[in-house]
Amino acid sequence: MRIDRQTIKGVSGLAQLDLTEEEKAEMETQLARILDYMDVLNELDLDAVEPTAHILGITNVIRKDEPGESFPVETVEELAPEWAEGHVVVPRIV
Amino acid sequence: MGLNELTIEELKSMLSSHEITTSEIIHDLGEAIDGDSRNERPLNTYIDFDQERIRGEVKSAGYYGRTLLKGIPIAVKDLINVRGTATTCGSNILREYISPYDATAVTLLREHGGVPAGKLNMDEFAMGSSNETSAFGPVRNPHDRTRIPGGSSGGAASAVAADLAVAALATDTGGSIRQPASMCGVFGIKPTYGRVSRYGLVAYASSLDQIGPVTKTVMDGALLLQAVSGHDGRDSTSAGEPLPDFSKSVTEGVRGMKIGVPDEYFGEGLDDEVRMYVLNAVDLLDRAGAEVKKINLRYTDYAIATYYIIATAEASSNLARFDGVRYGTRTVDTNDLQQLYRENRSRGFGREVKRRILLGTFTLSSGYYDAYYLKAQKARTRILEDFKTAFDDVDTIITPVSPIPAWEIGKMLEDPLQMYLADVYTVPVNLAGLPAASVPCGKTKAGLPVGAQIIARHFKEEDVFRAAYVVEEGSG
Repeated sequence: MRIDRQTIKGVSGLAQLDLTEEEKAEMETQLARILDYMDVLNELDLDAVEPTAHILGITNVIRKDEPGESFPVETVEELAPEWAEGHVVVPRIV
Repeated sequence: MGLNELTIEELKSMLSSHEITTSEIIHDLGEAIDGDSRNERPLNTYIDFDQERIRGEVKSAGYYGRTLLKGIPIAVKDLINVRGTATTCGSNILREYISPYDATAVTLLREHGGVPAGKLNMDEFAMGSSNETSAFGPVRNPHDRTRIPGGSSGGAASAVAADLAVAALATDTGGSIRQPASMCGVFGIKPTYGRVSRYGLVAYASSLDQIGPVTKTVMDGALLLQAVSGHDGRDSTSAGEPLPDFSKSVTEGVRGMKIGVPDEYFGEGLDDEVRMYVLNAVDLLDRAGAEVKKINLRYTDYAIATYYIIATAEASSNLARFDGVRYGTRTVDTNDLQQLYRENRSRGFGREVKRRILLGTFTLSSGYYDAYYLKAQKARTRILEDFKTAFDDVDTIITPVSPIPAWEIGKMLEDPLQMYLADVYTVPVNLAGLPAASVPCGKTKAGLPVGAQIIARHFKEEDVFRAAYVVEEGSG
């Protein structure tokens, strides 16, 4: 896989990261090297193999729909970097 | 001799007979930590150790009636939530975050009489094999302070090895308990995936992360694992398997146990001294009555690629929640929400975390998903089957933990791929979800500890303890 500066820009945009020029150059070189190494998996014939997402094969774990304890609003307020009138404050989005 | 130098087992009996109090242990730990901070090269194992706060917890909780841990202070890696303490994950983005709740493992620890005592330094978000990526500075190895302690639980392993903690709760995603335990000469076990609840553990790679103990002895590991194990409705991947008495298994011996020695783990790249000590451990088990067999794990060479694709993909998703909106550090004042996210994340995350987020974002992105992520999930199936086949013939598998002993601080920092490759013997175990421990089995001529890895079938931690104890006893 060839990684270029454009790929790094695209991926950092998806990841919500601003990179400095120096970081971009470093990531370009290192990610290319790491992804080249990942190509070792192409040696395997995996067409007929099922993917594993979870090791114990547990599926559809559900609990009873009963209300439990939650954080008091005051706790959430203490954690929030900016808070007003019972809400977390963020820049206007609409 | 300070009380900080004793084991859980020893302190438990002294607390039971009221010879000592928890406060005295905390005092001795505090003295030792202060003493170390005055060293020319401090170990830097704790991000937070607040004696007064810990004492306050002891007073309010009344620990003495609880049998398993009797009021013994246990240090906690700083990505496990302990109510009222900072949980920084070794990152600037969480520097100001104070946990409003206890992780389930911490709740269970308290219920069994363990006192959460201090938060341990670590690689940022558990991403690293050397404990050099922490925003709170690198941790040093007590056996040679110019060297790394291993990672990502370097703070835990270094603190336990240097008697700055009696024992510790840490986490292992690709070797983060076993590799530092090996490099610092202490015991560490990653239990079966699902054995310990992950509720309240800040997620790195959810299908691989497990909480486990780092301790001075195998018996202490059994006691601490006992305390924190069990099903938890708040972690949907937590298993409902019966919980045996681990401490009983420790001294059961290995007579009749079939132990596999995989060829692929003793090949090129393995340091000669490490090989010698691990084979010496195999010998000890053989002489103790185990049946040693050569086995093959044919997919070992594919584990690093598989692991770093899956782990970084999961990390890129898990770390999307850190944006400085609801908690943590908000560093900018802007009218643009996207800019708020980007600036908080760009300033808050360190270089290795950014690298892994980018890698994971790339392999999950449209057009590359099948070529990387899906392929890695399929290779994971092969690695899991590899172990299953091996366990048809043997009860446990013994291997080295790290191909090389602790390296010098800074040596691999500029070459991430080289550092990833050093995880070759530990990551397959996480991909397969198996329980495995590192137990000390010798020291190199330069005085650096070497650990042997013992792997068992799912939920057969007892077999790990049995074999590890024989190695511990025989290695002195």
